[in-house]
Amino acid sequence: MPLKSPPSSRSVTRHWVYDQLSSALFIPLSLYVFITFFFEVVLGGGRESVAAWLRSPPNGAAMLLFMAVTVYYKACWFITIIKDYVHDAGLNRFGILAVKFCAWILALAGTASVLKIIVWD
Amino acid sequence: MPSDPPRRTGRPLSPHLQIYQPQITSGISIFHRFTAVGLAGGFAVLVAWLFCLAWMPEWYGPFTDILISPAGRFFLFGWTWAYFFHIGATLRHLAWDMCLGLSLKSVYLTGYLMLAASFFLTFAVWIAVLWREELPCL
Repeated sequence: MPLKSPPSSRSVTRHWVYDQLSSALFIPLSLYVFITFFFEVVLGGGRESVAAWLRSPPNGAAMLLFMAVTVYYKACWFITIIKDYVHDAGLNRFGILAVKFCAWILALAGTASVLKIIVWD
Repeated sequence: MPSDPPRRTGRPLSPHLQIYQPQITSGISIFHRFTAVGLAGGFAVLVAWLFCLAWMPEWYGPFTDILISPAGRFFLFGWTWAYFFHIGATLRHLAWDMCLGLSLKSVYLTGYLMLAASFFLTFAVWIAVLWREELPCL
C-alpha cells in the first residue's frame, strides 16, 4: 500500500499549536463552568436558575467557548486513538470521519441549545 | 519511502500494550486516553441535557432524575474522577512540552502527585455535593 505524501510542516505545526491551545484552554474553561454552573446552579436550583445562569453574558460566552474547545479537544483525542489502534485502513478512515461527524453534531446541538436558552427563553 | 507497513512485516504495532511491563508512566498515559474517551461520553450527556433544557422541557425533569439516581451518580462520580485525572495528566503534558519536569525523578513524582490529587479532589467534590444534599432540584 503506497503511503500518502507527508503533510507539510506548516500544517503539522498548526495542528500542534491548536492541540496545545485547546488542551490549555480546556482546563480554565471547564473549571469555571463546573464550579460556577454545576455547583451554584445545577445543585442549587432547578431549570429556571440554569437558564438564568446561561443568560448572563460572561457565563453564556464561557459555556459556548467551553463547548467549542471541548468538542475540538475530544475529537483530537479520538482521532489520535483511532490512528494508533485501528489498523485497518478503511475502518481507520471511516472512524475518523465518524468522529468528525459526531463532533459537528455535538457542537451544533450544544450551541443551538445554549443560544435558544439565551435568546428565546 | 519509509520501510514497509508493520502489518506486512509481522512486527507488533505500537503502542505495544500487550508486551510492555505496566509502570506508573505507561499506566497514566493509557488512563489519560481512557479518561479522554469517558469524558467525551460525559460531554455528550451534558449536551443532551442542555438540549432537553432548551428544546424538550418535558424531558428535562426525567433526564435530571436519571442523572441523580444511584446509577447516574455512579457515572457522575466516575466522570468527576476522570475529569481530575485528565486535567492532571494534561497539565503534565503541557509542562513537558515546555521542557519542564522531564527528568525520570520528576516524571514519577508528578505522576504519583497527580494520581493522589485526582482521588483527593474527587472525594472533596463529592463530600461537598452530599453536604448540600437538601437541594431544591434533588
